[in-house]
Amino acid sequence: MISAAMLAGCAGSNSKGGAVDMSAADMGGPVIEGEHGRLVDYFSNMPLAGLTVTDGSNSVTTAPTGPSSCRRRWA
Amino acid sequence: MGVMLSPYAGGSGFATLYLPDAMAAGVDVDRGDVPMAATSNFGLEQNILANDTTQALVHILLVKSGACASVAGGTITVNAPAGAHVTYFSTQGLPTSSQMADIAAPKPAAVLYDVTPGAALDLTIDVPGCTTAPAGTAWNGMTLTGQVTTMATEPGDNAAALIVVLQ
Repeated sequence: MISAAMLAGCAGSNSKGGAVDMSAADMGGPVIEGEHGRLVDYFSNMPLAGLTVTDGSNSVTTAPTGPSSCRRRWA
Repeated sequence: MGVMLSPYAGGSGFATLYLPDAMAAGVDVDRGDVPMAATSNFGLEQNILANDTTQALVHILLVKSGACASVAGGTITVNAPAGAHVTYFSTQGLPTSSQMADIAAPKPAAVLYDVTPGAALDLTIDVPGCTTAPAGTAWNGMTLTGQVTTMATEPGDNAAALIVVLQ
């Protein structure tokens, strides 16, 4: 139920209907469907790429922040 | 909606952070900015705390909302588990203060340490002019459960975070 609307702003990702299914977004960044955020360095506040976010059996590796119109992903 | 979310984040050179458990309350669950500690900084934090690394470490993030304009001067009391301690973060970002500064989420205002892994936490949070949002209050598309996975700090550089919404 979450996934379709969750990714509506991200140019047609591969929604699968699972609340936290992982799928690849067309615009290049990884997603855990149903939740998103941005990992930043504690002191510098700079976005961190190459870290992994895991939720249950799903995980994604953070990528540099995507286009401002498509922030619904872990970055 | 109604799905339990219990993510953790980590990677080479950074401590592993267990994020607060939450139920998805909407179609857009926004964790926002999540500060991650480099392992060197996490080591510094532990050196300052002189914590028992077989016990867990839990960061407390306070969200200001509504009439709650500041968390300065607040206190956190650990009622349980026995043996757990609390220290507040300074505005420089180090756990060196005996008093709570006005540090709002996404950075932690306080850290609990020497927490028995898996134990139930019982905290009293008293912030002048603020009240704790009722259980079940939706925030950023999720309902925080007040729970988080806790593990021994070492090995693995493990930390946890809890978010408390104040209003």
